[in-house]
Amino acid sequence: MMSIRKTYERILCHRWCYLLPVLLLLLPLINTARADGGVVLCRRKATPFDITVFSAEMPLRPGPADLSVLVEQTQEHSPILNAQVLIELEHEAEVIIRTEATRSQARNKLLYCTLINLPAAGPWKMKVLVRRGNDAAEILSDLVVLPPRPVLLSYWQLIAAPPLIMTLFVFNQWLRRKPFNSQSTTRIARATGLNFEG
Amino acid sequence: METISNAVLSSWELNPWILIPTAIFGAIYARGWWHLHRRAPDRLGLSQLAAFFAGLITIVIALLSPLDAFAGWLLTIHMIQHLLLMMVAPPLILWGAPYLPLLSGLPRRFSINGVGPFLSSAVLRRIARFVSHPVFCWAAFISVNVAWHLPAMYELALRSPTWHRVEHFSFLSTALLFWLPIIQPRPWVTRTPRWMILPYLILADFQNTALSAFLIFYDRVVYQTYAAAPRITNLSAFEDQAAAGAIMWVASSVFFLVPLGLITVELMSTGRKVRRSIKSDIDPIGPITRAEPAKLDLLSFPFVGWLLSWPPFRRSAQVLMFVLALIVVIDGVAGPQMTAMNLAGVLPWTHWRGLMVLALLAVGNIFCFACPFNFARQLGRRILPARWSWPRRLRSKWIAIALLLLFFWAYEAFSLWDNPRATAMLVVGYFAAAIAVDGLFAGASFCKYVCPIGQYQFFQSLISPVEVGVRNLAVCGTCKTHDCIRGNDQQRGCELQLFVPRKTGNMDCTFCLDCVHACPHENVSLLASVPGTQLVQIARSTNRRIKFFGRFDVAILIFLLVFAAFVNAGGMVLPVQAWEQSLQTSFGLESIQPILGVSYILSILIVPALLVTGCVWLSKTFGRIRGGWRRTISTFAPAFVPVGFSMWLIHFSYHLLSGGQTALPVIQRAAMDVEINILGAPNWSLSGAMPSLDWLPSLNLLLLDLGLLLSLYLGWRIASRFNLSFAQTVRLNAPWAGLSFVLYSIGVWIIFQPMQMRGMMMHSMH
Repeated sequence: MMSIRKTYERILCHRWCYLLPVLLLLLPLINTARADGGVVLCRRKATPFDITVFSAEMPLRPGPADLSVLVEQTQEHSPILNAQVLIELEHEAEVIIRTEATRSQARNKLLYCTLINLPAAGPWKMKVLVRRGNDAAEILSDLVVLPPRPVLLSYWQLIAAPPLIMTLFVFNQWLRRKPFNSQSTTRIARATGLNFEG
Repeated sequence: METISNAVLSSWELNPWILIPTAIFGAIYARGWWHLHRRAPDRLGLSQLAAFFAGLITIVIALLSPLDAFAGWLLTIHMIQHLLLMMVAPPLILWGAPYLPLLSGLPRRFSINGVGPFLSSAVLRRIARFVSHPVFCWAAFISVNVAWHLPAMYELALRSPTWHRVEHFSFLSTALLFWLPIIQPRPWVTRTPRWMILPYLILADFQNTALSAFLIFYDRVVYQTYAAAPRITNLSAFEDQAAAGAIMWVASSVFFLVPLGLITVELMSTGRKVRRSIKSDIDPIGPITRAEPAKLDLLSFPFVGWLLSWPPFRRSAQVLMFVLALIVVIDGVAGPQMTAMNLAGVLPWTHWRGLMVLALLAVGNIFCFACPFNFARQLGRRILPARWSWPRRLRSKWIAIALLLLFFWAYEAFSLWDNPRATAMLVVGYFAAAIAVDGLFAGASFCKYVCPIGQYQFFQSLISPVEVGVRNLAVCGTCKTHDCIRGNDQQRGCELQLFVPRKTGNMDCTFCLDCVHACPHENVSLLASVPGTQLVQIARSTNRRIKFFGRFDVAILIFLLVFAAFVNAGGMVLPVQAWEQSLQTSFGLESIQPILGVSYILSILIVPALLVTGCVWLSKTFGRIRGGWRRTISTFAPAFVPVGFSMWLIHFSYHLLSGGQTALPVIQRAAMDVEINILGAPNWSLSGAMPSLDWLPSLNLLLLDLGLLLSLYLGWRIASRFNLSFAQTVRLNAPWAGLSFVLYSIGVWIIFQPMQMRGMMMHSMH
C-alpha cells in the first residue's frame, strides 16, 4: 500500500506538471461542433413547420461551418425534437454536399446541428429538408461564402505564440539579470575555449 | 419522446477550452492550498477552499450550462449569465485568497524563476498598484459594463463567438478588479480608507440602476438579434428585454447593497483597524521548502521494469525487426516495382520512419534497442577476426556525416522512396557494412562511428524523455570496479565505452542495457523526465558535457541533421518541385539531375554554411568573442536540435498519418504471393484513400512552435553560461535566435504547401 502511494506521489509531484502549459497550448487543436444557434441565416414557413437555420459564425468562409436548424410547429410555435433534418449545399461549380443534422451533435438540444466543411468560396444554394412522420417540408436559401482568410491570419494564435513567449522570457531574464562576474566568465570560457573582450 | 424542458436542461457543453484551464487552475490552487493550510490552518481554511471552487464552478455553469446555449435567444438568460460572471464568481474567487495558494501550487522552480521576477519587479509593482487602485477598478468595471451594453457592441458579441469570448473575459477580469477593494483578499493591502468603499458601491449601484431602467423603460427592442430570435417562451422580445432589465436592477442592487450594509456595520460597530499589518500579510506562512523531485525510475515499475530489463525481450524485438527487414528486402527485389504495391516502397518510408520519430518523442531510441542489424554485427564477429581497434584518426563523426550527405543526395536524386529495388539494395548494403565493420574491428565501431541511422537516432533522442542513467551518483562515487563500462564475468560492459555517471544524455547510447545488467549495485536504470530535459542539462552544464559538444564534428553533424530536416521536407512540396522543373525547362536540360544536384549542394551545404558563418561573425562581433570560430559553432550547435527534430517529426508523422492505411493492402498482396490467403484479397482502395487531415496544420504548427521555443531557450541558456552582462548575452545569442526564426519561418511555409505523397496510389494532394 505504502509503495503504491509513494509511486503515485512520485508521479504527481514530478516535473511532468511542467507539461500543463503544453496541454493549454493543445487547446487550439480541438475543433468541435458548437451550434448554440448564433446568427440566423434564414427563417421560412414551410407548412407544417417553421424552419430557422443558424450559423455559429458570420460571415461564412471556406472550411468548417457550424450550421444548426430549429424546427417548430407552425401553429403552436413549439420546437420539434423528433424530426429528420437533411441539409444540402450546392456550389455553382457543381460541388454538392449532403449531410444530416442531428440533435446529438448540437449543444443546444432544441437544435439539429452539423459541421460542414465548405470547400470553396462563392454563392451556394442551401436546401433544408425536414421530415417527421408523414409530414415533410423543405426550404431553399442562398448563402454567400466569402474568400478564405489569409493562412497566417487563420492560425494567428499559434504563430504569435513564440514571439510573445520569447518577449516574456527575455523580460523575465532582464528582471533577473545579475551583475557581471568576471571570475565565473573566465572559468566557463576556459571550458568552452572561448575568450571574451572587456 | 424527449420533452422540451429535458432538451433545454440537457443543453450543456463539454468545452475543453473552459474545462481544461479551469481544472488546471483548480489543481494548482488545491495543491498550493494544501501546502499552506498545513503550515497555517487559521490563515487559509476550508472556507477559502470552498469559496474558490464555488467561484470556479459558477464560471463553468455560466459558460457551459444551458444558460449559454440560450443566451442568444433570450436577453433574460443572457443577463443571468453576465450576473454570474460579474457578481457571483469574482467575489467567491477573491474570498478564496487565491494569490498565495496559486503561487505556492505552481512548480517551485517556475514560481521562483518564472513568476517571481515579475512579481518583484518595481515597474510591474507600480503598474499593479495603479491597476488595483479603487478608482481604476471602479472606472474599469463601469466603463466595460456600459460599453458592452451599447447596441453595436452587444450585437457584435452576439454575431461573433470570438467577440463574445472577449466580452465575457472583460466582464470577468474587470469584475475581479472591482471586487478586490471590497473583499481585500490576503495579502492584498490598500492604503485607501475602508469608508471609501461605501461611495464606491453606491456609485456602482447608480450606474446599474440607470442601465437597468433604460432596458426596462425603453419603448423598442434595443438588441435586434433578440427581435429576430425564435421565441421559445411566451415572452415577446420586448417583454424579455424588460424582464432582463428588472433582473439586472434587483439582483445587482442586492449584490451592491449587502456588502454596503456589512461594511457599514463593520465600520460603526467594531472600530477595527482596517489596514492590516503589511509585514504579517506578506509572509504569513514562512519559507516553503520542498525537495526537488527525482526522475521517474522506469525499471522500478512492476512488470514494465522487469520486461524492459529481461534480455530475451530485446532479442525478440531485434528478431522481429530482422525478419521484417528480410521480408522488405525480398519483396523489394522480387515483388512488383510499383511503390504503393511493394513492402519496400511502403513500410520503410511511410511507417517505419514515422513510428521511429514518434517513438523518439514518446520514449527514446527504440530503433537501436530493436536494431535489425545487430544480427549482422554478431555474424561478422563470428566469421571475421574482429580484433583490430578502430583507427584513432577515424574516431569521430566525419564518416557518418559523409554517409548521411550521400544518403540525402541519393534520396532526392534517385527518389529512393519511389524505388523498391533500390530500397532493398540499401538495406542489403547496410547489412554488408555492419558485417564488415564489426567483423574487422572490436567494440561497437559500426554503431559509434559509421551507422548514419544510429547517429540520427542518437542526436534526435536528446529530445526523448527516457535515458539510461544512474539512480544515485553517490553510489558511483564509491564504486571501484566500474563494471558498467568494463564488464564482468557474466556481463559485458558498455560496447560504446560510455561511463554512465558521465554520459551525455542519450548521445551514443543504443539502449542495449548492458550497463544495467553489469552494475553490481543495481544503480543503473531507465530514467524518465520531461522531453527536452537532456538538452537543457547540456545547455546549462559547465563541465564535461561541454567537452563532447565542443567537438567540431559533432556540431557539423547537428547542423547537417537540422538543415536536412528542412531540405528533405521542402523537397516534397509541390512549389519546390515545380520550381526545379521550370529551371530544367529554362536551361533546356534533358535530365533534372543537374538541377537536383546543384540545388542539393546549395541547400544542404552552401546556404547552411553561409548562414552559420554569418551567425558566428555576428556573434563574435557583437558578443565580443576573441578567436574561436569552430568553438563558437560548437558551443551553439546543440540549441538547434529541437527545431530540427520538430521538422522531422512534422514531416514523417505527416506521411504516417496520410498513408498509414496503405500497409494493409501491400501486406495482403505479399501474403497472397506466398500462398497465404488468410488475410484476404488486397483492398487497394486503401492505397488511394486519404483520411481527412484538416486538424494537422494546427498540430504541426504547435510542434514547430515548441521546437522553436526550446531552441531559443537552449540558445539563451548557452549564452548565459558565460555570466556576461545582460546586453552582451543578448548580443551573443541574437544571431543564433535569428537563425532559429529563419528555420521556423521555412517550416511554417512548408506546412501550408501542397505535399507529395509517399507510397500511395496518388501523386499529390492539396
